[in-house]
Amino acid sequence: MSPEQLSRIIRATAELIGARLDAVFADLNNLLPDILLIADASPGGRPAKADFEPLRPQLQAIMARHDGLVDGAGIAFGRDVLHDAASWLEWWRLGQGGEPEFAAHVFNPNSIRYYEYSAMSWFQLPTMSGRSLATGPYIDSGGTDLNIVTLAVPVQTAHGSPSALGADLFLPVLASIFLKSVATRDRAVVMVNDGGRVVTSNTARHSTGTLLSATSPSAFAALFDDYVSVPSAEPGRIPWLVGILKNG
Amino acid sequence: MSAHSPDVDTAVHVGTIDMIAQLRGVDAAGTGLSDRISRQLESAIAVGLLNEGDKLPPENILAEQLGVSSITLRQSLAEMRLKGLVETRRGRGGGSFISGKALTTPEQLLSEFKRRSPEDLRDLGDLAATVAAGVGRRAALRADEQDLRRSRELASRFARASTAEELRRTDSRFHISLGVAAQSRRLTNATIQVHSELAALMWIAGASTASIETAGEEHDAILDAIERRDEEAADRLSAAHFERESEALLDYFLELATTTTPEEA
Repeated sequence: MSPEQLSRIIRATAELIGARLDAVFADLNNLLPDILLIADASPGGRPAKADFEPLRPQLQAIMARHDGLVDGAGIAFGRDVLHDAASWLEWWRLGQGGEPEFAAHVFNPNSIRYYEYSAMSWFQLPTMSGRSLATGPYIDSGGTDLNIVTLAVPVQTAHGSPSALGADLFLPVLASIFLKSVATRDRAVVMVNDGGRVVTSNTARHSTGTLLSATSPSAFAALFDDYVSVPSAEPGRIPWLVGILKNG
Repeated sequence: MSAHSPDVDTAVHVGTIDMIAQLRGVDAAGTGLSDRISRQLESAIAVGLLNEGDKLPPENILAEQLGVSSITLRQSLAEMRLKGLVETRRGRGGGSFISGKALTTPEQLLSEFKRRSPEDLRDLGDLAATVAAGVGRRAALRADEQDLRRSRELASRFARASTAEELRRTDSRFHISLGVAAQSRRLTNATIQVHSELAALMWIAGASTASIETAGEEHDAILDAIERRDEEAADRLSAAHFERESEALLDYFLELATTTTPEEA
């Protein structure tokens, strides 16, 4: 396969992945005004957990709209946002039968299953920077217990720390989109995040979750014969690139 | 005369049922209980924990051993009967028996294989290699002559196996025997769990003679290292064996995924 053909393949793949993720981000952004509306309408601007129940159909609709790419969606509340819970996830997940199920989490710090989302990158990075972000792949222990990517959009309500509105990506579907687009094994094509962690690839040598042998974005860019950033309507929120490995 | 009922005496050993109960695999939360039990029983057949003609304990006892209600167990058994994996004989000496029918067709195995993901296969390979490394190391320190003879015998059965099903079963039994040689109940159970999942994926591609030969040579090299009590080599060779096999598995998956036919796309 010629370098021109390969160049076209990685560009088309990056664009496709960017478009698919942007569509999920757009869904999340569409939900932001409703969250603010509920928070603002509550006494003293401090809503209760139950006040967000009316958003359930919309959260479930996000899972239904992306051909299996999204298998979880919800709101992770910041500190002091709710008046009746310190930590809370209004989160929905697709069950085995494809039906949405409420995702229960353990917020007891003494439990081995404690889900301390405030300390997790997918929540911390977007809420601290105030910018939307795709985080992962990471092992979501205590949450989905799977290797996933989470897209999160920060939301600042009148009271408390910022919350995050998020969607979990189902990696097998993400891998399938990638592989069908790459559709060749002539060369090793990998999609990596800005930490050099492989999101997915067409080679068994660099599988999902492993690290490329380089420690900075500029260093691992040198591992590629050709590469392209995954584009997004909001630059920086999908910090991934698709590249053709040298000698691969 | 036995104090136990004859049904219990002739049925598969409670230790086997205990192992079956541990074959959890990666069932996600939300999987129905009866589905999970069916999968455990099917995995047990795939790795040769349960074999043709084996009689299952009476339903109430089996349900208790597997930690489910009799209703749930009956649902699983009904499902397995439909698939032809279990048959029920009435009358004296009757009960539920494992039938000789092949588990799943090659086409079913292939379509299930295609529904896996690269990450999932890599993760299973990591577990297999890690467990095998620890098993190999300890077997080299602890295996006696009898252990070695048993493992050699299973290795040669693998080398002689001609069908995919035989390859799966003899491969699993060989590796389980190394766990036994390592004198570790938990490592043996972990090996069984790994193989209960791996078995359905192995040798799907229509095993090439070359890949069977390679696996056979690796088995022999592991046994040689164990025999000369070289724990470093047994550890390294066992890990490398599963790393190579899981890389081949992942390669085959990626090959299929990048050459999808239009009607599948």
